[in-house]
Amino acid sequence: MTGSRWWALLLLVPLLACERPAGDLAAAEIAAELRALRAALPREVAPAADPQQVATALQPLGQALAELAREQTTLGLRQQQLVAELRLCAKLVGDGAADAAAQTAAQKDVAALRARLQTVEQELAEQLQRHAAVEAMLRDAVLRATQQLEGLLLGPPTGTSPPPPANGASGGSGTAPPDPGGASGPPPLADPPRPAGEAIERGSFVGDAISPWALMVALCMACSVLWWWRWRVPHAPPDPPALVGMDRGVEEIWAAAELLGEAVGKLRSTRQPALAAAPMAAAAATPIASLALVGGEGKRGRDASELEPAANDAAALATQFAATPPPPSAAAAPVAPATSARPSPPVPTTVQFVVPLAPERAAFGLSALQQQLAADPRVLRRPAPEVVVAAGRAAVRCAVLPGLPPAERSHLEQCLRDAVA
Amino acid sequence: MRARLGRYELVLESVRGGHSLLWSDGQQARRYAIGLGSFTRLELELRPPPHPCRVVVRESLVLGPGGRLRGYVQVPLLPVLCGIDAHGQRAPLLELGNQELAGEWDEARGVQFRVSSPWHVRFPMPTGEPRAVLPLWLKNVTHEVALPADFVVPLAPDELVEVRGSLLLRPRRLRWQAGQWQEAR
Repeated sequence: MTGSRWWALLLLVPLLACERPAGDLAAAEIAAELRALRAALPREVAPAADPQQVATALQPLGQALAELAREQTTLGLRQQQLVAELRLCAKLVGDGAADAAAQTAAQKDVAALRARLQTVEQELAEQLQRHAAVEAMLRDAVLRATQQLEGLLLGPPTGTSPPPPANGASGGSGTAPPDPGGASGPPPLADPPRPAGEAIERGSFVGDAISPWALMVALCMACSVLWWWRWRVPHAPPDPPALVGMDRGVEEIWAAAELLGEAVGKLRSTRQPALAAAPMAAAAATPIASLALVGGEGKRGRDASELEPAANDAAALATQFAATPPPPSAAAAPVAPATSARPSPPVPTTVQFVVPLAPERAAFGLSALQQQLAADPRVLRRPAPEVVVAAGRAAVRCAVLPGLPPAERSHLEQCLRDAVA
Repeated sequence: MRARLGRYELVLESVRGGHSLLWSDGQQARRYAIGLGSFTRLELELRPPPHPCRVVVRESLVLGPGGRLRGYVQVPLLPVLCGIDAHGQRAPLLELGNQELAGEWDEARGVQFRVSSPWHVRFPMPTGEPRAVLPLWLKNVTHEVALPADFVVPLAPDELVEVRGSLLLRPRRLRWQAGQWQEAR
C-alpha cells in the first residue's frame, strides 16, 4: 500500500469520528418527543379538580389526626393523676412508719421510693415532650403531604415556581397551604429542567463531559504523527544506538557484552601472533626445511629421514613452492594504515606436510589429498590448500584454524597419509 | 555409555583404568584415548564457533530502498567435551569438529567460518542437530536496491540460551548501509 493511500485512510478516520453516531440520533429524537409531550400536557389538564372537593377529601385525615392528638392529651392527664396518687401513697407510708419501732429501718426504703418517684416523674416529663415533638412533626408532615398532593393535582402555580417545602426547624405550623386561586388556568412551563438528550442534540462535541469521539480523534492524530515519524526514519540519517527503542536493562546487558567481547578480542589478538610466530617465521625462511618443525616433534626424525635420500627431489619441491605465491604470512599480512582504527586481523597458522606418494599414483593421490583437505574442518578453505606432487612425494601446505593443538596437526598429517596409502 | 547428538554418535568406554571415546558422524569415525585423572565427570557442551560466522543464505536476499526482512538462520555449534573435577572446576578436554563449519581467512576480517543456511521465515523446528537459531532483522536504509551476499556475525559464548527446546542466539538487527551490514544496537 502506498503512502498516499495511508494518508487517505488517516484522513478518513477523523471524518468518521466526527459523524454523529446512531445512538445519539435516537436519544435526540426521544428528547424532542418528551419536550413536545410536556408542552402539550398543561393544556390538556386545564380543567383541574375543585379545591373544595380536595379539602373535603382530605378532611378525614385531619379528623383522624385531631382524634390522635386528643387521645394523646388524655393519656398525659391520666399519667399525671397516677403520679399524684403515687406520691400521696408514699407520703402515707412514710407517716405510718414514723411511730413504729422500725421507723429507722423503713426510712431507707422511703428514701429509695422517693428517689424512684422523682426519676419516674422526670422520665414522664421527657416522654411528654417527645410525644409533643412527634405530634408536631407528624402534623407538619401531613400538611406538607397535603400541599404536595394539591400541587400535583391542581398543576404548577402560575408565574413562579412552587415554594420549597418547609423543613422541621422552621416549624410546620407556619406553612400555609397554597392559594387555590393561583392554580387556575393552564400554567405554562417557566424554566423546565434541561433533558438529558438536549446536550447530545446540539452536537457531538458539545456536552458536559468530553466526548469519546474527541478522544478517538486525538488518538488517531497521535497515531498519524507517530506513523509519519516512523515513515520518515529510513530517509533520515541512521539513528545513534542510544535512540533505538530498547529496555534499559537490555541496553546495559548489551553494553556489558560488548565490553566483554572487546576484552576477549584483545586477548585473542595478543595471543594469536605468539602462537603463529614460530611456524610462520620458519615457513618464511625455508619451506622444505621447516616441514619437520611444523609437523611436530614426533614427526621430525621421520620426515628428515624421508627427505634425506631424495635431496634432489626436495630441491625440486622447493623450487615449485617458491614459484607459487606463498600464503599470507606475518610479513605479507595486510598492514592497516596508521590512520585506520581497525587493527589487522591475526594471520592464520600455516602448516606444511610431505606425504610419500608413488609416481604411478600421483593423480589418485592428488585427488585424495584435495578431497581430504576439503573435508577436514581444521583446514581453512581460504587461503586454499596447495598440493604439489613431484618425485614420489606430495608436499601439502595449508592454513589451519588458529590455536590448533599439535596433536590435531599430527592427526591431520596422518589423515593425509592414510588418504594416499 | 552411548549418546547421540543429531547425526553424531558418542561412545565412551572404560578400558584398563582409562577411557576410550569414539566419535562418529555416520561417515567418519575418530577415536580418543582419555585419561581423566582428577576429572570425575564428563559433559558435552555445545558452544558457538569461536570465530565470526559468515552466514551465506541459500536464498537470494533482495532488499529494496527501506526494505525489511525478518527471519531466522541456523548456525552450527561446536561440540566440546569438558571434564569436571570434584570441586566443580570445568576444563575443556576435546573440541570435536563440526563438518558444517568451514574456516576461511580474509585479509579484512581474519579467520571466520563460512556457514550456509536457508532463510527461515518462521522459527525452525528443532531437529536434534547441533545448531543454534539466529533471529535476524535486516533493513536497507539506503536509496538503492541491496543484494547482499552474506553477513558476518560474531558470536559470544554466553549468548546461547535454550528456548522452547531449541538453542537460540542473541537476535541481531542489521542495517545495510554503504555496501555493508552494520549492527544496530
